[in-house]
Amino acid sequence: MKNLKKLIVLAIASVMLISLCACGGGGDDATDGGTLTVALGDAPNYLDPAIAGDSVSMGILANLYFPLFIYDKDGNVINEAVETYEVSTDGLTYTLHLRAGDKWSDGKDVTAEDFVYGLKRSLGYGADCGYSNFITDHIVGAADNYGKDIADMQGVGYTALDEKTIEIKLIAPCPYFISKMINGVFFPIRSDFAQEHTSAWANDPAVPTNGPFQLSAINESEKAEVVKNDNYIYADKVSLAGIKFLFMSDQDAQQLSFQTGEIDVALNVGTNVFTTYKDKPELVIAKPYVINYFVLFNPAEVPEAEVRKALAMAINRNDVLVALDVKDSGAYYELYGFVPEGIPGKNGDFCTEVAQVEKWNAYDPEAAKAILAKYGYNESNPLKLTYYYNNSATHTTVAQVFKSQWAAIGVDVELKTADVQTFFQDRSDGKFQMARHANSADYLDPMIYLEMYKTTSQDPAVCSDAKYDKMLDDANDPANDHATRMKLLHEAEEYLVNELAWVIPIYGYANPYLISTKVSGFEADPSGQTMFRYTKLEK
Amino acid sequence: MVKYTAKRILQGLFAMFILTTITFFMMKIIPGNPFNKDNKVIPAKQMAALVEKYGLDKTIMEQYTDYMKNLLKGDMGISYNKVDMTISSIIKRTAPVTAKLGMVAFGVSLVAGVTLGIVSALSKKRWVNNIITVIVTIGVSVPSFLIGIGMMILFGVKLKLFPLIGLTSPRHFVLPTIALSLSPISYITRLTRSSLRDVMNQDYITLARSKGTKNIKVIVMHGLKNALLPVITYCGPLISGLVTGSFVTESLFSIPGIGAQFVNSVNNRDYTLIMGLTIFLGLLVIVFNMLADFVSAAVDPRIKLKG
Repeated sequence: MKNLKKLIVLAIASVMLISLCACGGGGDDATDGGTLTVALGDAPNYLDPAIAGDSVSMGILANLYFPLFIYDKDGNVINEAVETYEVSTDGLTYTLHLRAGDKWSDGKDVTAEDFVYGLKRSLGYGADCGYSNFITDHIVGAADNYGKDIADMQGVGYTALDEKTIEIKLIAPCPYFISKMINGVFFPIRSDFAQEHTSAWANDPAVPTNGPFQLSAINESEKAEVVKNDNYIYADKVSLAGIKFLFMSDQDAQQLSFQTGEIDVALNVGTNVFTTYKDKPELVIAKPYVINYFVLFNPAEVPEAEVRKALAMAINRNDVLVALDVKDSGAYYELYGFVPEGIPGKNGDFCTEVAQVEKWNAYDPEAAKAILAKYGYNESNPLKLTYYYNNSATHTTVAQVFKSQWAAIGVDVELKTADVQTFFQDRSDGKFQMARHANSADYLDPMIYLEMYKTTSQDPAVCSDAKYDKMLDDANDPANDHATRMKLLHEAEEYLVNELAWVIPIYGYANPYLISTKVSGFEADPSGQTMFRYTKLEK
Repeated sequence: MVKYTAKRILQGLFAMFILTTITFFMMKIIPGNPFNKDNKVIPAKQMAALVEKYGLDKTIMEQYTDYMKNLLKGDMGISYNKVDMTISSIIKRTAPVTAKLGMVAFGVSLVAGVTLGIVSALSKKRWVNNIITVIVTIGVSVPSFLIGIGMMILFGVKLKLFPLIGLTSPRHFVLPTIALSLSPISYITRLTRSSLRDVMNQDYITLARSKGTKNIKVIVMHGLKNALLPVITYCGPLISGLVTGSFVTESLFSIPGIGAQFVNSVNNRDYTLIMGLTIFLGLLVIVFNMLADFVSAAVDPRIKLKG
C-alpha cells in the first residue's frame, strides 16, 4: 500500500514536470502571429522572378514581391504597386502611376526605375526567361534588344518618366496587355543586387524585396523560410511572423504530415483527398482554376467539320467524370467551351456566361449517327480513326471512355499512346488524327486559349482558318469597348468549337488543397497562384 | 599489391566510362526535347532559343564529345529544369544529407544484423530463433516504401511518436533509419548466422574448447573473427544498397538528399542532372566495392589480391 502511494506521487510529479516542459516550448510565439508551415511540390528554381515559370517558385515569390498588378479570386486585375493608369485612345501608350509608400525591405523607396530594371533584365536574360515573349510580343523595340546587356539596350518602349511614373509604348494595341503584366517578368528588381543573365543572387536573404515577406533562409532542396517585411506598404495587415515553405514532391508524405500537424497547408496532394476529406473543412478546392481538358482534331486527317461535330456529339462528359471517380468531388465540371471557368467575360465569367449555357455539340448519339450515315459511314464501312495520348492513368481512363462512346456511334477508334515527350512533339508537328490536350493559363484573358488556333501562333500551322483569324483581330480592335470585345470573342469561340469543331472541350477542374482549420485568409487566383500575405494562424 | 590496385582502378574507370556512355545515349534515344511541359505551350521562338542554349541542336556525337570533355574537367553542366544551377552544386548540397543518414543506417545495419545473427546462431531456444526469422523474412520480402508508409501511419499519424519530415533532430532519424536498414539488417543476420554456425563446427573451435578456453573468448576471438569475413565483403554492396534505398526513403520522409533529388530529376526529365547523379552514384558504388575487397584482404590472409 505504501509503495502504491509512492508510485502515485511519483506519477503525478512526472506528469506535472512534463506539462511544465510542454508549456515552456509553446510560449515562443506569444508576441506574434506565428509561423505558418506550407508544403509545396518539388523544389523551386532560384527565386528570380524572371525565370519563375513554375508554380512552386511563384508560390514563394508571390509572397515576397508587391508587383504592378495581381488577380483577385475571380481573375479580375487588381492594382497593386500601380495606383492608377491611363491608356491612350489609340491603345498604344500606357502610363502607370505608382503608389506612394511602396518600400523595399531595406527601407529604400521603390521607384519606376526598379520596375524598368526588372523588365529589361527579363528581356535580356536569355533563353531561360520563359515569358520574355510577354515583353517582345508587345513592347516597342523589345524584340531587337532580346538577350542583350541592359547597358547596350536601345529604344525599349518601357521607360521611367519620373520616380513614380512608367510609360509603356506598344507595337500594336492589345486590350489584354494589363492582364499579362501580372507575370514575374514585370516585377521590380534591385539593380544593386540582381545581376543580369544569371539567377544565383536571388537566393541570398540579403536581397531586398518589396512584398509582405522577405527571405530569411533557404536550402534549395528542402525549404525556404520567409519573415514579415516591416517595410511592406500594408505591413499593418500582415499577421504572420513568417512562413516556412517545405519542398515535398511526395503527395502521400504531404497528406501524412498534414495529419500529424507538421504542416498547416498542403498544396500538393492527390485527388484521393476528394474522398478521404469529403465534406471536411480541411479540404479546400480553390475554384475557379483555369484549365481545359480537350480533344483536338487534325483537320487534314478529319477534313469534314460535320464529321468532327458528330464525333463531338458522341461524347458523354458525365461518363468521363464518373470513370475518373471525380463526379462528386465538387472540383470537376463538364466543359462545353474552349475557354474554361475562371476568366472574366462580359459581365461575369467568360465560360459560364455563354458556352456552358449554349452547350455546343452536346451529347446526342442519334444525331451523330445520322451525320455519319450522310457521309456514307455505316456498319459495313465504319469510320476508322486513331486517338493519341500520352501514357498516364488519367489519360488512359479518359481514352477508354471515348473509345466505347465512339464505338456506340459506329466509329472504330484505335488508341495510341507514347511517352510524354514523343507525344508532345508529334502533337505539335501535326502527326495525329485526334489527340488529347489540356492547357492552364499564363494570363487570364480568353485570348490565352483562343489565340492557340490563330494561324500565326502555330508552328507548323496544323489548323488554319482565315475567317477565325480575322474574327480574333476584329475582336481586339482598340476601338471596341469591353462589352463589344467580349461579344466578338464569344462569337469566335462558338465558331471554333461549334462550326470548325477543331476541338471537343471535355472538362475543367480545380486543385484540392489541405488547409488546417487554424488557418484563415488563404488566397488563390484562377491562374493557380496562392498567396499567404494576410493569412492568420490561430494558436 | 600495387599492380592489383592499379588494375582495379583501371577497371573502375572503364566501368565509369561504360556507365556514362550508356546513360548518355539512352537518354538521347528518347525523342522530343526536355523542355515541353504538360498543360503549357512554349512559343516556337523560345523553344528554339532553349534548344540552342543547351546545345541540343548539335548532333548527338558532338553533344557526347562535348559532355565527355567537360566531364574530364569536372564540369557536369547545368540543370535543364532548375535554371542556372550547376549539377555539382546540387550534388554538393544533397550528398552530405544522404551520407549522414547512410552512415547511421550503415552502423545500425551492421550492429543490429551482427547481433541478431550471433543470437540466432548460438541460441538454443526455439522462440528466439522464430522471432528473428520473422523479422528477417519481413525485412527481405516487404518493400521498403511499404515499410516506410506503414511506419509513417503507425508511429507518425496514429501514435504521434515520431515526426515525418526531414532530419532535423535525432528523433527524425528513427523512422527513416529503420526503413532504410531493415533489409540490410535481415541480410546481415542471415549471413552472420550461417557463417557463424559453420565456423563453430570447425576443428580449431573444438581445439580451443578442449584447451579449456572460456566460451565467450572462443566465440569472439575464434568464432566471430572468422565468421565476420563475409559480412565485411558485403559492406560494399551494402553501401550501394543504402544509396538505392535512399531513393524511396528520402522521398517518403522529405529528406533533402541525393536519393530524393534523383527521383525528382527523373520526374522532371532533367537529363543533365540524371547524368550527373548517375555518374556520382556509380562512382560511389565502384569505390566502395573496391574498398570492401581491400579490407577483406587485409583481415583475411587467405585472400590474395593478385594482379
